[in-house]
Amino acid sequence: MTVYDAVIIGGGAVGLSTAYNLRKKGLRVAVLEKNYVGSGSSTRNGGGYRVHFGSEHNVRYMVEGRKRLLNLGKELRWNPTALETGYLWLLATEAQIDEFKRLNQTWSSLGVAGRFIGVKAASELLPGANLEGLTEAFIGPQDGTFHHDLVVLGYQARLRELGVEVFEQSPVEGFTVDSSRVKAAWIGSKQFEAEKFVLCAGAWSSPIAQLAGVSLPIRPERRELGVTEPIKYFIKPFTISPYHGIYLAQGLRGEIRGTVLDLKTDGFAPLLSTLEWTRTYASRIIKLLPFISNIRLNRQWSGYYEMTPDHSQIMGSSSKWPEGFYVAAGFSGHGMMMSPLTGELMAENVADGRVPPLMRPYSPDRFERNELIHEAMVF
Amino acid sequence: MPWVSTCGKKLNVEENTPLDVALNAMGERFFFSSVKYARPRGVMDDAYPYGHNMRVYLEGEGLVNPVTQNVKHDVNVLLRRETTLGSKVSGFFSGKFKAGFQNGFFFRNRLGWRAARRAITSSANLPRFSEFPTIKEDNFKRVKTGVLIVGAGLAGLGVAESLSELEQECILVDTHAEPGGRTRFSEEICGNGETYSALVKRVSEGLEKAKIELVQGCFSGVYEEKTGFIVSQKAVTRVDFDYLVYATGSRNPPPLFLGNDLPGVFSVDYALRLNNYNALKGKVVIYSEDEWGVSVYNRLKAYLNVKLVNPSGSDAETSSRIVRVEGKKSVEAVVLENGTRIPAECLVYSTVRQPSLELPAQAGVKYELDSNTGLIAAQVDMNGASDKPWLWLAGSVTGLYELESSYHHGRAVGYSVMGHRESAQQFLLKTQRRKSTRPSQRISDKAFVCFCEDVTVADFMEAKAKGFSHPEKTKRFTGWGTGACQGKMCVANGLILIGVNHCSPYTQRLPVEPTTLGSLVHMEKVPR
Repeated sequence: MTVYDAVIIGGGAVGLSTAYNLRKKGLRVAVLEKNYVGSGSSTRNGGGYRVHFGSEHNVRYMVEGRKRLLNLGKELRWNPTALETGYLWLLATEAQIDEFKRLNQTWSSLGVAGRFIGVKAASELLPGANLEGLTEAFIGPQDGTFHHDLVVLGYQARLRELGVEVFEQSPVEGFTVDSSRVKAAWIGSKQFEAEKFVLCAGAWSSPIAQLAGVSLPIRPERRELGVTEPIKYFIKPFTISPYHGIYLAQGLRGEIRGTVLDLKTDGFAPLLSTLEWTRTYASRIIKLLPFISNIRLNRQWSGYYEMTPDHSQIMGSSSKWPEGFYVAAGFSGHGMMMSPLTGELMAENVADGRVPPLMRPYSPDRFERNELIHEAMVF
Repeated sequence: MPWVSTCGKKLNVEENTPLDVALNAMGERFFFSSVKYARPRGVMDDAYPYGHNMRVYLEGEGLVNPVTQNVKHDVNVLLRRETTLGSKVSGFFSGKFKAGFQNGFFFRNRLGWRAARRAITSSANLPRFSEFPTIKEDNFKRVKTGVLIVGAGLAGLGVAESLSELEQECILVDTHAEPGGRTRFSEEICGNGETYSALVKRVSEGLEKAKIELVQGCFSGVYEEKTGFIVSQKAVTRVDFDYLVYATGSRNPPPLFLGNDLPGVFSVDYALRLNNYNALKGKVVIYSEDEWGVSVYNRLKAYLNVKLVNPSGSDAETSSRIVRVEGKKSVEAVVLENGTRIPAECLVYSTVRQPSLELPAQAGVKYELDSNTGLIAAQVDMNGASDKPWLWLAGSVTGLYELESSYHHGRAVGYSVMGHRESAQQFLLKTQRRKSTRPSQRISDKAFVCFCEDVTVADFMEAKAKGFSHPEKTKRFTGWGTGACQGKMCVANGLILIGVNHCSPYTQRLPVEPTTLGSLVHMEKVPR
């Protein structure tokens, strides 16, 4: 039987990236995935990345994370088609504008200032849009879009080249914990023995951690997303409009994808589509882009956000947990864009035992110590 | 008789002739250029109108779906099928580097990407939003029914007939105005001595008397609220139901030889539709892998210039497989494995039929490919019951029955839905399971599998070589099944190519029929 240095539980972007970076450090790694690689939330993504967060920690994290994401094509020899399209926020109220002015001071100090461009300039970025009711627009030029599937496929192809074993259709059913140390994960009668276990199971992390006697404050939240038929590329920025209650972006194949911001279901609601979402999204997007009423909705789907109390991820291990048990989960909707950096930090943490400065704020103990991160910008 | 005019030609047609049939009769089979490779494309299958991709404009009407648009008065038709320079470039590189666009060399390679991304983002042969016509004030309805039957072929009619005998209220939905599915234009004889079209006529007249409505339109699939909608060119109807019976039948997956996407290559169902309006003309080659194709040939040979290519036939010259179809913008000749070259204007294929599984798969019914027989079958019980108490499958959509047996199975399902299992039993006794026939293995690497996203056999092979052999991964790597047809044409072929024993198709997404956002807004607007 193989004894691994590290077993990664969860074959999504974060798990694959962690496995990849651990392998690069020379460790013998295996990945356990309950269904097929990317089947959880990684292939249900909205495909945007941004550095503009409400919490300074998250801004710092993504300033670094953005570089890793943009460099991922070189790293994996597989292009995630990242484009710096910018994020466009359409603002309507004084309170929103003040909030963005306040945040922009933080962003400026970290070298990623955005700018207010006014509604007129916004209408040039969104040709044909009805911007009535809006008073200001803010653009974050450092942000952009990428294709999530290509990240997952790229990591997978690279892991295959590096000889990392990825076990699909392998849901972890329990752990062997011996003298407060995790010794093995088991699936049926099959044991996977390892020095270290890294839980990257996204929305499913809480129930799996429970098997090792660890409780994690991660809750799933179902969201839905849809794409239209492809039309000529004309919307450049990833557009978020709290006023209309939607976000949307156009992919390179020409499809417009987007969702409503406030329709969500708490818990493991079945991954089905609702007509309620369809109707709400259609009416809201038409309000913003009236001509779109003639364009067809091609497909819609649902997926889980992995929410934590402070809308920020949990990374690393805790002294209260069995030894050898690590977590990188609870990204609250930002796991895909953060995955290249997360894997790197987790690899350093797991292999070398150091806690890199960037991941320090995301300690699992922060909830007890009441050092919450307070991230309000979750879309 | 109204006339249709396009490209400098003019033709008088009978009133209510479908527009695509009229255009076919004029020899205009090239309706649009494909997005990625900029290849000429036309209508391939009766069951899948391709309406989403086609750029057919009517003077005074705007963009229309020619398959559902009937000629009512004199019309000028504008066919927009030109290709952008970008698509030509993309097509060139796609050919050069085996694959292009989404999954191609330039997209995946970082250096190539840097140089080419501007070209890629503006290259594709896609419509600008201003090309779409303004939506007219549509007709929105909301109805409630006991049983919703999707598909008014032999099986769907059978279900409705049983339900009418039980005086159970139900609604039939079909994409076509006439009931009968694949048999509605057929003169073939069924077991009791009458023709299929006579059987269809007899049953549907009975249903008319019982006041069972046939709604024309495409069904969206099931939403979490256990509801769905029917969309047609003129109206959107939201339907709430207690029971749902899918009787969506089966279709011919296009055979995988070189040039299988050329205008003029189409399924036997579509050929029968053309023939019904006397629009099937010229030199016709029928490629048949099953008995249905042979019987259609035997009927047509009396008055048409048809040749039969049958791999298991007895004639030495034509008992071979097709290697490629030649032609630039339309079919010109068919070349067989034994070297025979047959000049032809259209090639009609009758391959081993596979279930039209997209709607049941969306609702969560599991399908499995048996890689020994090449048949895809649903995991349902004898009575068509799925693991959901409200969802039933009838007829050839189960992958187990064909033609007459489909009808009897439909009759049985109708009784089973209402809990009359004993009455169902007598019909089940009349059903016969399909014989397993191995589909043709002859393939070309450059044959198209997915016609919306231009995915070739080579793309599937590349996915396999890279280790993406799960249908979901193949879908994401190649783009297979994510286009406007939502996998209606390609799921069966894709699964056979992936070829893993007992593999299920990828998850189908709603709406199974792409629907304009403008009509979705009104989903709750209920005129009483």
